[in-house]
Amino acid sequence: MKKTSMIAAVLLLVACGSASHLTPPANFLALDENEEGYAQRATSAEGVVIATRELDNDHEGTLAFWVEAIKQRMQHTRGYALTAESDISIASGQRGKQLRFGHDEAGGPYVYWLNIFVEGDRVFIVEAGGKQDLFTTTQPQIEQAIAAYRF
Amino acid sequence: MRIWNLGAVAALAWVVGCGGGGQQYGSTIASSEAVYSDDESVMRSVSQRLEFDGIEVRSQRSDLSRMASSPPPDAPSPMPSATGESYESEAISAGADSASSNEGSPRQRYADATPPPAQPVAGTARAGADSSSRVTDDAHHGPLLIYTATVHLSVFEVERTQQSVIEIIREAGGFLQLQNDQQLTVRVPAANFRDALARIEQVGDVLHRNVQALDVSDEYRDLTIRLQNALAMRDRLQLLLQQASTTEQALQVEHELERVTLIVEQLRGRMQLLGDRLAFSTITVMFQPHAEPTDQPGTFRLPVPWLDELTLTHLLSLPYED
Repeated sequence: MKKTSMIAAVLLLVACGSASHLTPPANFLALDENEEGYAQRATSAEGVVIATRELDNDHEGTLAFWVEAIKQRMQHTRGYALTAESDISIASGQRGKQLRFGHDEAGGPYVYWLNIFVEGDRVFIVEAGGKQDLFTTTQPQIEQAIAAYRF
Repeated sequence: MRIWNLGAVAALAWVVGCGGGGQQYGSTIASSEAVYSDDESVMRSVSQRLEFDGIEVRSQRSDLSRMASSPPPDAPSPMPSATGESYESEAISAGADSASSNEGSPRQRYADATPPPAQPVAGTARAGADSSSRVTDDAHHGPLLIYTATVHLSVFEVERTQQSVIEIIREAGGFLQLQNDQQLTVRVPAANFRDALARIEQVGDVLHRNVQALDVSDEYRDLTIRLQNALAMRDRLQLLLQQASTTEQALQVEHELERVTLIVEQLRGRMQLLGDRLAFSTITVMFQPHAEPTDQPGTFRLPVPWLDELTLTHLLSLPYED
């Protein structure tokens, strides 16, 4: 019986096509998967969103490469301000980089976090963002969700 | 007793006031010769030293002292105030005097951004007081540099970032001079200039940076010597005023005295200003919000489609449920 349950779980994972798993904060609503290129996405009622991406890394670019590419794109092309950068580790043991950006939109400050992980030929990204004041109130739960991320 | 020629005194005063730089020494000495015509050897030796020894302030002072302590044989004696020591003390106190009347300065107005007194550099008063004496020392040790920097930063949340910069400046012992929506001008102790600038550049993305070091050694040295000369001249005029035998003579001397006093104040003011600029470097920070994309033609774009999807707009655009 136990064996059957495990097989079912594995089959479910394969069926979903997702090699990673993020448990959203308790007060978030999980949206349909595979929307807009996201593996997972969830939102709070106020509009703070957390999402994951799983991307091909056929040429096996390193974490440093992707971090630099993302910083370059966000700062110099999109006009985001890099407010903080730090190393991060997740529940499954991998180490990655957390980039915290700020951006003024519609006259107000917004926060946008990108957490980047590289594992072989895959890149895993956890995004989180929202209006700054709303994001700040949810920040502990967001951090907890990122820390519990697995792939 | 030899009668001093008031015309020559006036000429000396004029030279002290108008002379500047290397030419001043020669001019002053030429005038001095007119006054102390019997002490030509002393004057000539001073002139040679200044012209060929690379204009060295301490040497000039000692020579002035020698000049003052060696009055012409016919000159009234004694000359109590006309000593090298008095020149030095007056020159040094010049900065302190004017600095002490510095109330209402930007430092005062932005007292909230001023560090507690325990900070290593106190302020203009000290800068002014130290500056004159420092010149004589620095003439031997190195140039006097006024540092200024302008930094253009692209930032998120301008107001909050400005507060961060003010905090950095407060910790560096500096103060706020100007603030508006897009700009901050701050002053930091010269010793903390580089550190403060480096920290400021970390609060945003540096779009443009301009750092300058202006060498004012020559100007400061000239000012010091001109002030010494002017003070010596003022002392002599005061002595002459006491000895004036006619009203006409007294009026003439008073007129010159007034003019030399004005020159003294102008020189002190300029030295005070330089002292302040030397002690506190100026950093101007221009803020540009990160509101608009800065995609420029020719900007390198890595051909990776998903990089284009990493945006807040994309993240926050939620699909309608069927």
